[in-house]
Amino acid sequence: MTLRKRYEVIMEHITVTDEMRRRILANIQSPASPRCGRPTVRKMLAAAACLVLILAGAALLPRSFTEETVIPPVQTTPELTECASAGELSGAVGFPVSDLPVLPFEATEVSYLSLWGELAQIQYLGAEEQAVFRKSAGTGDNSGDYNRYETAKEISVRGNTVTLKGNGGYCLAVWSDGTYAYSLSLSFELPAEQWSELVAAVR
Amino acid sequence: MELCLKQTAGFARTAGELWKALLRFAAKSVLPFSSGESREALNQRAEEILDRHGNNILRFAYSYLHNMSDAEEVLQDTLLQLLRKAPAFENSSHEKAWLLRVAANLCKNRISYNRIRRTDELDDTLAAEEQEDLSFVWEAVKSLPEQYREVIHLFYYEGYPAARIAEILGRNEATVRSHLHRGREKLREVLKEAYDFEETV
Repeated sequence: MTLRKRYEVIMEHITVTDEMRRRILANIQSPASPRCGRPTVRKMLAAAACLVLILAGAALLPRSFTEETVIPPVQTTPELTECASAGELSGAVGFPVSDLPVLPFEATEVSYLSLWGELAQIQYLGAEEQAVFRKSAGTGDNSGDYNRYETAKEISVRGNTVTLKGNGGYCLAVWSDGTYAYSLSLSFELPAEQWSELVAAVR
Repeated sequence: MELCLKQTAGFARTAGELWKALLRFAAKSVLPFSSGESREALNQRAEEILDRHGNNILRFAYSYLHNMSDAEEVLQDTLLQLLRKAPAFENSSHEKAWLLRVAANLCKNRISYNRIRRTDELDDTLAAEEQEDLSFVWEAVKSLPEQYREVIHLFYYEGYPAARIAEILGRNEATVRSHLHRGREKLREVLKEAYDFEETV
């Protein structure tokens, strides 16, 4: 049997059951669904903004009736933007982002991602390993890692307190320099001493 | 006097048009079903899409998230996006590609913020059925990095060519081919040539 056939058989175990179908349709069709029913606060604010514009327009129109009214197109920032380099990523998020100068494995692939124009993420892939580095403005934990770990330890690196988490060793480091928040997660664990070297090298 | 009247009329027309545009915008923002469709029509559309593409979306989401609850939520959110945005499709194939693209973005958002659960029901199901070879393949695919896994799914399960996969994932075709090649290489290492990989892309 080919890989394709086996994969198809595996996927056939995942199906929309009758119960799931009822649940999804009930959620979509309920009056509380964001698709319908009560307008959201955002929509009410939009309507209020329209009213203000109308009133302002009524006050201004006698002076501006010779001018054309141009409504600019609405632009939205893409949620996830792939970038080609750390430099491009820096431009996307508005603050400097650099590649990690030190990695505990050889990276064969690197990807750069801007999340909502606020969070810079660099992902390094090795043969079996993975590292995800994140940087954002502020001081909070930006790792997105809400797993419970058995061990946690704080170390000091270049005057900053770094929190290490793991199960025995450590696979996650979170810290801030007071201006930016950083996190580095690995797909494997390292001792605290090696983490000191990794974090110290981050700029 | 005449000039004044003409300018006043022009001003009144402009003001009237502006007024109507703003009222339409306000109505669209506040009133439900402003696309003109009744609630019943939208509900029916949701059912049709769920019946037509539900399994495909659910399976694609599962290939990212490895959890039925998370995959179900992505399926639901994908349907909601469709009902909200109501894009026009040329055909069913175009519709499905759009849905898969939305589902992919929703899955990646979850993964990026680590809003995923850890239970993989498929692992348990295959183990319960004593389907060791299928478990082996599933574990091998699961272990792939996300970029390889998604193209492997779209190629092997949905049967899309690289160009179509590139459109769905918003990448260039060369990148998709590269990820497909690397994904297969990694699977080959794990599966040890046990299966025919069907090399044609």
